[in-house]
Amino acid sequence: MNEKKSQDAANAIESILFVHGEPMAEKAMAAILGITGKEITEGLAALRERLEGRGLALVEKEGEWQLATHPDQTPFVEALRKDQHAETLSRAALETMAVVAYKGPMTRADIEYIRGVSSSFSLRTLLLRGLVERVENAEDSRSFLYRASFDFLKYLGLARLADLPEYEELRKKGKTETEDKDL
Amino acid sequence: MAYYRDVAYHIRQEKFEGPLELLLDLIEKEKIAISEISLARVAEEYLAYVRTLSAPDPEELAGFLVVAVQLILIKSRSLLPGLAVPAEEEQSIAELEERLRVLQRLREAARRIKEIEGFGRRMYGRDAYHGMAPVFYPPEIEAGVLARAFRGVVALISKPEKLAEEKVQRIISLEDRINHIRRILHDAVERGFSEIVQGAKEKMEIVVSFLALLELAKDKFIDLRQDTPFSDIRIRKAL
Repeated sequence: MNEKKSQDAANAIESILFVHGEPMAEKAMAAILGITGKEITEGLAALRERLEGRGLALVEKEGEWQLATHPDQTPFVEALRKDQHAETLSRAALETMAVVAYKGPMTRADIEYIRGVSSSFSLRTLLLRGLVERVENAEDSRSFLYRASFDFLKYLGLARLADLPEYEELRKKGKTETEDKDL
Repeated sequence: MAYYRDVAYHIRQEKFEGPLELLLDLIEKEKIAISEISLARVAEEYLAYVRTLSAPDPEELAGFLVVAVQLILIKSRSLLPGLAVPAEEEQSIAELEERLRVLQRLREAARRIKEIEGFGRRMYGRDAYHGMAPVFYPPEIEAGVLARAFRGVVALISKPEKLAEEKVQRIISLEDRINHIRRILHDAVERGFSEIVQGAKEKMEIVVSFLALLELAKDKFIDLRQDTPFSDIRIRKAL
């Protein structure tokens, strides 16, 4: 593999992610840099490696990437921004958050099936705090899908969803046929 | 009013536990694994709790009752080992256990998330940058374009100066007109304004002539007379 090429891609990706500020899809990067998706993947891997031990880190979710401050630097960044969130999540919100993070994207009915209780209030709290995001449901336009947001990952200082404790195992567990069960 | 009702509803919602959560609480309190046996053990406690529920909304109550029925069945079977249960019920009991296990794992995960939240290791992106007006650079900009644009601006600026010069000329011509009128009146006692402006090439000349006329009248050099509005102004040398 061409080492120089992936380093060049890493440089380019680093610069556009820095200016963009927000999460960016790999596809969008490929279009801007005029290189293939595979080269983007290699560039991102090189960039991640290079950011080891630096003040910045990459956050990834569903093929989108964002450049963010490293969790080690939180005290300084928060001193700069002076906006520490005082309020932690309530138990109900936390449980709902866990369901969405491990099992999402999913409909509200699916969340409520797993929790066995109406979760609209908790969901609304999480949406307001920006930890959960609501997206169109491609399969059924009458309902929305809920999934963990980039802010959720950054809130916990995780580089990707898979860094959640026991993510793969929990994700597989209880892949239920919930469509026909409403609670 | 609706607002208060809404708030009250949601406050209740936040503290409110569903049937699965309640069941899981009871099982975890007993520190036993999820199984038909453990469900039978907590069945009575569950039913006691449901009895204390003060009029939750019918839908919520229904959820509690569905589970309650299953628990009663499980309890009965534990007391009467020979009790035959329809396959459908068998399956729904298995499903209840599975749902409880999933919920238990997720609840454990929620505790871990709480822990991670407590570390305060938040990351910050440059989202503050978001919402700033994007800059659109005009295509193909280079120094030459700027120079040409600047020359264009300079060309625009020089125009008003030319206009100023013309104004100056007009002022000079006011004096000319005054002299012209004086000269004309030298030869005759009375003249009409129409005669003075005869052969005028532009409106400005007429206006200036009229101003010259007023100027001379002010200086009492001439007398003016107009018989009817818009008729010819008669000009006569003052005596």
